[in-house]
Amino acid sequence: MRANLRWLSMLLSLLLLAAVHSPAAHAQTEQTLRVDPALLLADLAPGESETVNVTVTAKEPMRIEVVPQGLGQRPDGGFQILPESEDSSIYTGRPYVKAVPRQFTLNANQSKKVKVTISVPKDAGEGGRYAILEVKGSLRKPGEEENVGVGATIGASVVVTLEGTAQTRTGDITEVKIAPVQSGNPISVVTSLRNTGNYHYGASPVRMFAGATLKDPRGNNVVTTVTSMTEMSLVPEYTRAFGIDLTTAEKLSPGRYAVDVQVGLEDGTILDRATGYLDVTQELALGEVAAPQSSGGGSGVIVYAAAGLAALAGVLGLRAFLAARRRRRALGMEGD
Amino acid sequence: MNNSMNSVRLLGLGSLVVMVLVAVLLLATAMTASAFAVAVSVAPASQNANVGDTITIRVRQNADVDTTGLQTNVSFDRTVLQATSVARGVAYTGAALLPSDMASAINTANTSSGQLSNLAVFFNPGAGTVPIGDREGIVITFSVIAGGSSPIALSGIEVLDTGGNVVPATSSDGSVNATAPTPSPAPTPSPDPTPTPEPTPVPTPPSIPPSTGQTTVTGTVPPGSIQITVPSTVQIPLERGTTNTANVPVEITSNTLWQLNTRDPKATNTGFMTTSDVPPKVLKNSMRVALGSTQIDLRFGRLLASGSGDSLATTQLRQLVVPADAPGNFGIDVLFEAVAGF
Repeated sequence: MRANLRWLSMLLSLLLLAAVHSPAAHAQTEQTLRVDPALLLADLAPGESETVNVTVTAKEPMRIEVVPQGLGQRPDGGFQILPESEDSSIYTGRPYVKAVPRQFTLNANQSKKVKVTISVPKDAGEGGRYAILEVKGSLRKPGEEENVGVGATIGASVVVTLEGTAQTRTGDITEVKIAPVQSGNPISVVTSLRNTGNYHYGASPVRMFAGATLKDPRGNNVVTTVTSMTEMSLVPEYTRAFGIDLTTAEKLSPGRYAVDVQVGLEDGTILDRATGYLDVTQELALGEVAAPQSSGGGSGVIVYAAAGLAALAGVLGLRAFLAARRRRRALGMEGD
Repeated sequence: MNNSMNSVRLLGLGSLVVMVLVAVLLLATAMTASAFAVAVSVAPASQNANVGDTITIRVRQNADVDTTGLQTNVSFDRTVLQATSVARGVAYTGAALLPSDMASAINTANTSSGQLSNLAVFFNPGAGTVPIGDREGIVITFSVIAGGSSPIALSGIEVLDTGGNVVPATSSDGSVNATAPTPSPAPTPSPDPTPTPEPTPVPTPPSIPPSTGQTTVTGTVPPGSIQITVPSTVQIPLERGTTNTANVPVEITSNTLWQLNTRDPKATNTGFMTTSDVPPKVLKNSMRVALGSTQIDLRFGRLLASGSGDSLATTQLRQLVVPADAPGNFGIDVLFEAVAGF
């Protein structure tokens, strides 16, 4: 009998456990929104236009709104959907984009084609123009049992290359920020680079690289670190901040250290150089550099101990050579 | 005597109550066990391939309950296909994958059994769950080594829910039809060389280059698409003196670069939970959205993650409620934006 009671108690516990963890208790409805294509690339000469059908699909009944918006970029690299009132870039392509229809309702698993016309004015200028076609699903208001409404939006990026015009890829380092270093931590260098050209860069095949060299008070190189940026472009007029951590096994003696920063492209172009300074007031032992994050920040960190920006230039040159060779091979210009 | 009879009656009544309770509980157990189901299938259900191709099949699960693990045997004709790799599906990103010696398991399947036995993906308790719906569980690649047809058969399926219970499963197998290259017909010698009629001149395509041993390969990469799936609503507890949390799974299905941003779409009190009063009451601390080591203050919408391909991320809403916060029913809207990268 005692054994039976134990069994009953166990059964009760199991049932209670199952009830607490029962997914039905926290079942939630989903909303799925799909946009195809989500990237509209158009090579158009000033005065030309092109029409693309964009298919919008919803798995659940949904009210849809399609709005051409500006494309902005935050210092973390994230593209930003900018309404007209905030879209002040001279490289905006928002006024070029028209979508029909702009509002409609989809039933479950229904699709609708939206006709997107990109018209480039005759006086468009040179380089690239950028916009986002925002496809917004209706936001369901929370009911009595929920207090957070969750919405889904897809931004189809629009990149217009003004055909037959000059594309310039230039950049200025606007800031090199070196945070005060605590013993046991690496030196954290945050560099801000502004795209001063008229065309985007940073994604393959013109990826961006940044390098930083720590120099001791006598001007000797202590360590150089090179980091490759994420696979997202930096659009004209916007600034991207990226961090590089420097560390070395050697203890740093007191004095003023310089950090030379250089940013370049995979094709060998050096965009800009700048120097920041770090004052070390007492002997400092640096700590390890954390593993790069898989999202957001830079990746592919390479450390060259006691090398300098000459080494960085060499690396950039090597990468440029390899990239050019890959392209030549792809075009069948070079055999193995 | 009466006391002893009463004791016996009470004992009998007690036993009856216990028996009824046990019966109800057993019925409830049976109902709980059968209330949910999962369909496990091979995707694509059928595919054609040529000898020499590498093909991918996906074991998918469509459950009406959150799950934490999937186990199955996968049988195939080893004279037609050879397994080359087994990997976690998108839904089980970060989960454990078994057998631990996968190379040996693949070798056994390819050389003798024709079965990848006890393939399993599972989350350790608290490490994650797979939401309700059609999800990718296991991804297997095969090399096509000979022509013929091979089943991709599932057996021994076990899917666990978040309580560790086995969810009743049904399965759908798949198949692969492999085509061997057609041999060129051998030239038949003509015994009687009769004059051949003059051939009709065939116009030469102007784009074919002279025979230099170089082949021009062209192809068109279609533009990428993005799909995002999020829950419609979420409940976050609002207990005082603590940081309250609620998970929000965000699934992105894409074949291009993407960025995932999050923000509060309202123009005033952006990032703060408010009541519907006029003027609204506002919590003193803004809401945060966390993914891995990234935490975003909803006052400033920003980049949560970026990547390419499919991704299932469980983001976490975090709301600190301090003793000074006013009482009331607070709410907020959180927008997840998937933007195509370039």
